[in-house]
Amino acid sequence: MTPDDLEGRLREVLHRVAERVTPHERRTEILAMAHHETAQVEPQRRWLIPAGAAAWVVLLGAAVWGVSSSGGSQPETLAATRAVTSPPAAAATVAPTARQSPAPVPLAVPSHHRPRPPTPARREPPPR
Amino acid sequence: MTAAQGEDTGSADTMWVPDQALTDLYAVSWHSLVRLSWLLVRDQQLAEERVPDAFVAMSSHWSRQQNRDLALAYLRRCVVNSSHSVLRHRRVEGRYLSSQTSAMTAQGSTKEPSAQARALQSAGGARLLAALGHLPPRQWQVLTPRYYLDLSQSQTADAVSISAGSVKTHTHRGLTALRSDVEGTS
Repeated sequence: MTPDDLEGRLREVLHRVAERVTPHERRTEILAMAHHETAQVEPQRRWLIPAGAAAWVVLLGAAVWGVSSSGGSQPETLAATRAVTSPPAAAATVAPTARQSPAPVPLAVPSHHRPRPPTPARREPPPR
Repeated sequence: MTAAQGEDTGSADTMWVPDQALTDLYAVSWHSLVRLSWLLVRDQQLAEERVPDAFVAMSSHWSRQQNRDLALAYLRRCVVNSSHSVLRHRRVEGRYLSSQTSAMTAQGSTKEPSAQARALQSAGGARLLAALGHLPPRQWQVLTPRYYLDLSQSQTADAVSISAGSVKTHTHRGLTALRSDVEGTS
């Protein structure tokens, strides 16, 4: 018996035996079970969206609070930077926003933030 | 119409409305899936209990089965898996019973053959089916869906949840064992 013969015979026997089984109709039952299952699953999903939104808000609030409480030194630097780069009138308005720095003291100003002295106008080379 | 022809109808891009899709899938695959399950567990009542569970499981995962081919593959996988668990349970039960009194075992062996067993014998090819039943479970579980539903190697691998290479190996070994069994007894 060749492999093809055996495969063909196996296929034929399985089909012939299976054809003798006549399944009962259960379409309505299956549809009802499926609806019941879906109805059970739906309420869980309805809770999922508000719960996710609430978790997101809490996470956002925690992040904002964390940044505002741990980043105390950042406003000082910011105020100092603004005090240096802006005119005195503007510094007076900016300084009160920094909560822990009463006066804008330019202590830690990086060198690249220092205002450069005005460069003289470039002179044209004398004509030959 | 063969089981495979019945399952292959319909395109993959049809509109996917759950109730309509479920009805279509039922019309296309109910008979072949119950028969497949029956071929694996050899019990019509059990087969008819298992297949609806597969449909219900599929209906609760609509988002993953966006077309008919995927849904059919999912159904096949569910049916084969649940049939496997029936067989596993039956084996455990059999081992337990065989470890009990020998009187009970003797009673079991003298039991009258069921109507389904008689139907199997009268359907012809009883020797081949008996040889199929003597194969190791995995080979039998690979050969049955593959040749009943005319599945490809990869489709069988998906249905039985093993790799395509394992399907090839089990098919080869199973066919070799079947051949030697059938030729030895004839």
